[in-house]
Amino acid sequence: MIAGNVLCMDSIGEKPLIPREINQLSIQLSQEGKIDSQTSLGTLQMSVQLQPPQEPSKCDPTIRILADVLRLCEMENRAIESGFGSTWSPLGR
Amino acid sequence: MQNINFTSFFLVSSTIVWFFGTFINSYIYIDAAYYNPLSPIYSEMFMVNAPLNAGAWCMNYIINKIAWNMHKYYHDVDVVEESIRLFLDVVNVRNQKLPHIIELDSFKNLIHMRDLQLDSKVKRNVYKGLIMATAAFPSIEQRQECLRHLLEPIGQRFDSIFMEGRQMVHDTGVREKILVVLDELTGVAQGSNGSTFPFVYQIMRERFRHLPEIMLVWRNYLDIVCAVFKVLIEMATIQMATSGATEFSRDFYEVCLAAMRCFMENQSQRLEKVYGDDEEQPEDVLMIVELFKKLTIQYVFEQHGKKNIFYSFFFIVTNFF
Repeated sequence: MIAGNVLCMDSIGEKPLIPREINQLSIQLSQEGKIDSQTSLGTLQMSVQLQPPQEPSKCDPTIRILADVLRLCEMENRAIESGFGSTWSPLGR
Repeated sequence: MQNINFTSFFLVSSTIVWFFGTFINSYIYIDAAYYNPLSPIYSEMFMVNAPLNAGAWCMNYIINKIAWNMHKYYHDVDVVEESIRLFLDVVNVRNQKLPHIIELDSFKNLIHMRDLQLDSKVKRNVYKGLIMATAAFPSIEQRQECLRHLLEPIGQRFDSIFMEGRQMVHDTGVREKILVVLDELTGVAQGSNGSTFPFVYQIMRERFRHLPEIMLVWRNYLDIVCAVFKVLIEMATIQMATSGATEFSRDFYEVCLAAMRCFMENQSQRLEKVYGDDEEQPEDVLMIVELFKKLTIQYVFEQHGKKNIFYSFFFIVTNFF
């Protein structure tokens, strides 16, 4: 929930846009050569296979957060499919 | 402790879906014209026709997640409602995602949601979303084929329940089935617009003509009376004047008048009641007024003559007194 509210703007009645600060951070890191789109895409694709990213430092920070949520989602799916839904929350122990 | 466990579990699931909906709106299939400039990372990944096509990859995964949630979480209201909300956001033409996802296999599989055993209000939104989604088909033939595929099973269920139900008016199971099919019709009406109205009405015409009869047969069951009104109100919300289907509009207008007359003729035995509690409102009366209001603002009915609708108005008012 924190990630969603940080990465996206509240946009009732307006077109939702990427927050300016996040866009500028991505531009800056890209210009400095610290991140690239191929690595970012690879991070996304490996997240749903529950594999660790190869070069997490070269992935765009926003994409890393998305990848983490996708990984969490995939874990949820596999937990339900395997019948481990009741152990999903640590509060149950 | 088991209850807390499951509550947290479903909270995580619904929050994940909420995150996807929020992220899609801002990042997927973005228009670079709104930025000065757009980051090259997002441009290469998420723009329409981007080289890396990450937008399609993400949408494929998320749409599969919607369908998966509907299958696995059908018993959990929060997760299902959040998933349906995301589905309706995705198919809303105003959000401009629909043309880009219509060819995805995951999107084509969403049609199977209508076969799930879901709460009737959820089913209503499923049909609303599926009908809305047909607007993305580039050709009229494809759109009509998809609409036919969606509507014919509803029509067949309607016919079957209508024939069976008249023999067992007070049977609880029959009444529940009627409510379910009326909810589905409501969803169809909510998802229709001026361009889909002619074809939707052409397929469902006979069933709409039966609605006043349903109101007559089940006049003692307020939930069914209100469900019929709900279908008519949602249908009357469509801007029929833009559809050009004057004959269908007039036919629908006659159905509404017949339903209103049928309702009013059965109110003569109604006992006087003082509604002291704010929660206990005369829902059926409010709905007939709402339907009347919707009909008076339909421009196409001006062709048919305003006299008819005002005669109906006076008929309704005099019956109330």
